[in-house]
Amino acid sequence: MRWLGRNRLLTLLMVTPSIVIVGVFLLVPLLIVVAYSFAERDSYGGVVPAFTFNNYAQLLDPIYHPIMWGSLELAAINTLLALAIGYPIAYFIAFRAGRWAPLLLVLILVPFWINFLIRISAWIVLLGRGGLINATLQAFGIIDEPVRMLGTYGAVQVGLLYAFLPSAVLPIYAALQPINRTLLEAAHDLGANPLQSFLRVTLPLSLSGVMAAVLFVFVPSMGVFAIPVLLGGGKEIIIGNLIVQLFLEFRNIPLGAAVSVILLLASSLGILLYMRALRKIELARS
Amino acid sequence: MTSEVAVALKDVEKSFETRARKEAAGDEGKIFAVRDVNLDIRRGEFFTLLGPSGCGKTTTLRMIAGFEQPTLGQIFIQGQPLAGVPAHLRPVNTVFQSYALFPQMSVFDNVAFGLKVKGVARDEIRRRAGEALELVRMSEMGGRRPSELSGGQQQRVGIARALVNRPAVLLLDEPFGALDLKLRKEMQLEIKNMQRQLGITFIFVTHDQEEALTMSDRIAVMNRGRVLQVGSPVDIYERPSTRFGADFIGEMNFIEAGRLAFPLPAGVSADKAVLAFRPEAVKFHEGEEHADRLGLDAVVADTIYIGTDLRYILNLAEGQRVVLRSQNSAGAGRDVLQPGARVRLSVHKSDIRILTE
Repeated sequence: MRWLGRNRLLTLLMVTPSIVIVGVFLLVPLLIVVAYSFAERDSYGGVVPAFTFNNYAQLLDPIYHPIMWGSLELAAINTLLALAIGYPIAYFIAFRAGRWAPLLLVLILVPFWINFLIRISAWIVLLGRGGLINATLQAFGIIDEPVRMLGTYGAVQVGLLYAFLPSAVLPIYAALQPINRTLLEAAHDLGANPLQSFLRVTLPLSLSGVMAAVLFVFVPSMGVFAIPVLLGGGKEIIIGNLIVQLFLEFRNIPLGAAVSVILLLASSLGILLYMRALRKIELARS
Repeated sequence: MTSEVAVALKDVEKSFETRARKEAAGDEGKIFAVRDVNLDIRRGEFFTLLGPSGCGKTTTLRMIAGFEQPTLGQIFIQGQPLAGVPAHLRPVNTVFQSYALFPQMSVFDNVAFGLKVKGVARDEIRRRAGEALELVRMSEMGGRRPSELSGGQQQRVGIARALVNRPAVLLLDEPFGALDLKLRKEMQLEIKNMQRQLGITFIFVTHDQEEALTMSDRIAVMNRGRVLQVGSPVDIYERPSTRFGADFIGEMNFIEAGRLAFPLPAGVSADKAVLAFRPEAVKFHEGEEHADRLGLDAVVADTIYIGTDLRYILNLAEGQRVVLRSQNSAGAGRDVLQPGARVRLSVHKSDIRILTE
């Protein structure tokens, strides 16, 4: 009994640093944001403690609807594009690349070694008026005048896709790679042509990876703010920008906090649904 | 009896280029997985490819299935050449050693897979898949997932999944390799009966000589990519044509012919020939010498009691080792010869094979 007590004390002692770190640096800021979202602002941009739903009510204002829907649309399109391009890449690495597979995986990871902002800034160089793409097209005489790319919706979409494509490729690869190749031979042997064996065997078995990819791309795409600012000229306002604007420019911290909480809830709901669907797949499989 | 050929292999070779040193790769800088294989497998036959791992038996099977292409030579099914025909269009189906059942599908859907991809009508799928499950006595399990089944049950599903397509030839790649001995014996008899009932040509791959002898109509013994001998189980066991085959199948005593005064057929040189005879052909000699028996002097080195049999390890006066096996009749266990005992052995000359390869 005494030994058990001592053991428990020791365990507690060992996990304390983790609890403190998670608590102080993750949970407390989160709670502050939640508390702010129910607070009021004073005329100087400060936060006045209160308990009001006014901030949330304010968000029902139609002025915010295009931002909400726009973000949703941008994230949804980005997710679809990332899947459409990421799945074939992951498939190629898992099934066709052979001994080149490790190298290709490293190439996909390399961008992560460079700061996100710098990578996005590089796209300014590519897309700008005198940028690499315009210069090349002009040099070959395909266009006479530089095409305006920077500062457009398209540039934001391209930037988002670039930023989140690895987040789609990696989980899909992780789901495809362990698929027993004998299963594909069996499908082939039983009369399935390549398309049929993909649709009936490979795709269903990689579904958990596809769903992880959706989660990894969709949720952060909603909250991103640097890409629209740098590539979209700040005009394409999405939720991420809205939060930054409310906090830093309008000094309406409670309203910004309310938007953050809503984004957090939406993301959590997405994760919850994902976990549920995943459990269903796992259940079906075991 | 006119025997129609179901599968024919003509001069089939499967080789790989290699960058390894020439000595290791052989004369042509290639590694041969299968070489000069010529086989005529008859319709309705239970045909076994038997050999140790790496002998080319599985590669041969995979070439028939269409998973691999021969480097040289041709494969025919019912007279049709298979070159360029992809696996999904061949009239063969495979039973895999690892079962290879689709984990995301129910047992029934696994069995129905081949019919579904061919666009067979739903009613017919239900009927035929049901029949196939019945054939392997798995009707009750249609709704289960493969992971809920034991290894033996999974392989039954694998067999049903292949047979439901009514293949001209069923290919079985060590289907019982992952099963325990008792279950394996049960499945062997079951498969054999099923094959007789259905009359489908089975090509069976195994490294287990006992399994091959139990089940097959004919056996092809393979080693190092080549077929050494094709014949019935009796041929293969009693009249092996090569030293490898004699050694691989069952237990065999070998004595270099040069050490004994044994009459060899004309044209066979004594320093290349080996006399081979089974342990059960060796007897303790009683009475007079016979002209039709080979007599040997030996000393008992060891006695092994294995229940049904007694095995004696004997050292010959000529310096070689011979195994004698005698059936353990009731009470024989009591007066077993002790190590060191001098004995006279005899082997009937008709039980001795002279092998030169």
